[in-house]
Amino acid sequence: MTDTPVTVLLIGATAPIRTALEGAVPELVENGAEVYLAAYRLSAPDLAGVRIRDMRLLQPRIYPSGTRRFSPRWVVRLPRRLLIRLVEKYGDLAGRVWTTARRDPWLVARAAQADVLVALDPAAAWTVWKLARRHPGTTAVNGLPAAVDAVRER
Amino acid sequence: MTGAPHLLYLAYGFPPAAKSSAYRMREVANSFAERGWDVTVVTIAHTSWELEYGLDESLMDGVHPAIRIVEMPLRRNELETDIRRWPRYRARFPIRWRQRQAKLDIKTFPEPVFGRWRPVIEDTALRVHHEHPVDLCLVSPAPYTMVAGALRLHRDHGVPFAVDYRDGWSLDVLGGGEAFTPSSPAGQLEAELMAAARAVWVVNEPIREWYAARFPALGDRLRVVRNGFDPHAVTASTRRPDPAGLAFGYVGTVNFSVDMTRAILNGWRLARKQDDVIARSTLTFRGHMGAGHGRAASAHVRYVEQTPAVSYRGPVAKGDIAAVYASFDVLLLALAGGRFVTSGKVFEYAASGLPILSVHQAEHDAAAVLDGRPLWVRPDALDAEAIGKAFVTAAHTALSATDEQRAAARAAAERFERRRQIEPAVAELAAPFEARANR
Repeated sequence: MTDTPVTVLLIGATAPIRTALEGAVPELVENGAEVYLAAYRLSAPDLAGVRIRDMRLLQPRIYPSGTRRFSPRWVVRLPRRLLIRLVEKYGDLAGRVWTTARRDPWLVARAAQADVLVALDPAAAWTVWKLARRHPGTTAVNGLPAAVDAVRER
Repeated sequence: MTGAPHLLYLAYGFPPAAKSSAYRMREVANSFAERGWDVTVVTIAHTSWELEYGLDESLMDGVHPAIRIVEMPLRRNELETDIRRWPRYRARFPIRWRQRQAKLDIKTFPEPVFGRWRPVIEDTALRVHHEHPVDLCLVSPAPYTMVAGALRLHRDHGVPFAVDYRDGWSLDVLGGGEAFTPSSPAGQLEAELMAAARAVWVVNEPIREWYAARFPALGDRLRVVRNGFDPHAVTASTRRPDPAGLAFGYVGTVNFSVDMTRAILNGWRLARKQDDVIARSTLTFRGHMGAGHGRAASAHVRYVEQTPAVSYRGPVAKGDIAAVYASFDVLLLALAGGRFVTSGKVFEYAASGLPILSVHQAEHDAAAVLDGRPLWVRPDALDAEAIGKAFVTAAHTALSATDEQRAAARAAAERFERRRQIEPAVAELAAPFEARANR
């Protein structure tokens, strides 16, 4: 076991399966991990008792743009904002999760601290792949069995 | 024997792979080794199994010490869990990436996923033959790409080979029809395989009939070699069911449809409302539900979680399987497919002496194994209502079962001991080579 905890960030596009988490999360914790969970669909009460330190529902949110409406900067950023809205409304699940995740301050901060990023389902893999490129020292894996192996190896 | 004959056994799934085929492969290899053969088993890299169903090191305990295992440096790329190794296209469009890969696979050998392994399999077979000449090559697909090694040795060096087909390539055992036409690339390869093979083994009579009709020239080279149970996997006695609550159990890989899981669990819910004993009972699933990154995260698990008194407790090491059977009062036998499917677990179930609740098509080869066995319950149909009634019947069958009935159930299964199935087939295949070696 390592002295400093290994930070594990689980990312799901669909609602995480309790049994899968119940099996793997204690193993992660016993191997010295602090486990965080972000999911596009999430029912926190369903996961009560699973040893997750903190969890976050990824939802399309409107963030303050920091620019005055109809200012030149606002106009320049308008197409990008429209594109995000379009992806959030009509994009495939993988695209929607990433578009939401990249603008979520909780997830951005946790990803920056994470030692291991874990995709819980295929649609979450795109978000993990993109985050892994932003944080080159982070381990990025698909699925909980691989997450347990990654924590053991650290 | 003057010079021991050398068997090259191409066996993807040999122990310690935690695959259902591992038990049969171990028995076949052991049978040859015990007859004095030099046995070389070719499988994929030990570490690659961790990407699939994982490893069960307890399976290695029963492997004959003289057997040499050669690992090919192969791994299933589509099961790669390190996302940094994924190309961008795969991460963004995982389904389209898979489709594109499948097209590339079949350019090398007509089998998706595994086709691209052909050169490595062929090279490994040739290398083993170069180091220690092979007298007989036995290949056990799936994957069918493994037959490329046997065909290459036969074409280049005239090495005779046999095929332990188990299910059969051109037969869709689940759907019951033809998997590909005789004129397709796979069909042409299979025809070459069937023409040259010394022996072709399949696991049940319906598959044998199907192959006999498709390749009449096979004649008596085609035979049924059933799967079976290992005596140490079942206990000699069972616990006495307690009316305060029974333990229903499922043991094995879940490879039936999610719809069937839903019907079983809805049946369970109905039975709990109808019957006090079931209302106090539990249903436990043991075995694999999903492979690789999806281990324990399949849709089946989701339904299990949502059903009262039902749980999924993960896979069981072969060494612990007897204790798991001993902890149940009734076994749930849920199976996919129909007359061409037997399954491996039906033999262990049959030998356990426990009441069995069968949930599978009426015309299923597992029914042929259980036919005439005491303590066997089948629903009238595969809908939730019929399954619910069958749960109730199975519970009361367990409570009223006598020691004599349990003993009779165990006795009826004795003929399915794995060794009794494998040894005669191995003896028949090995005999000409042993006679030549003794000359």
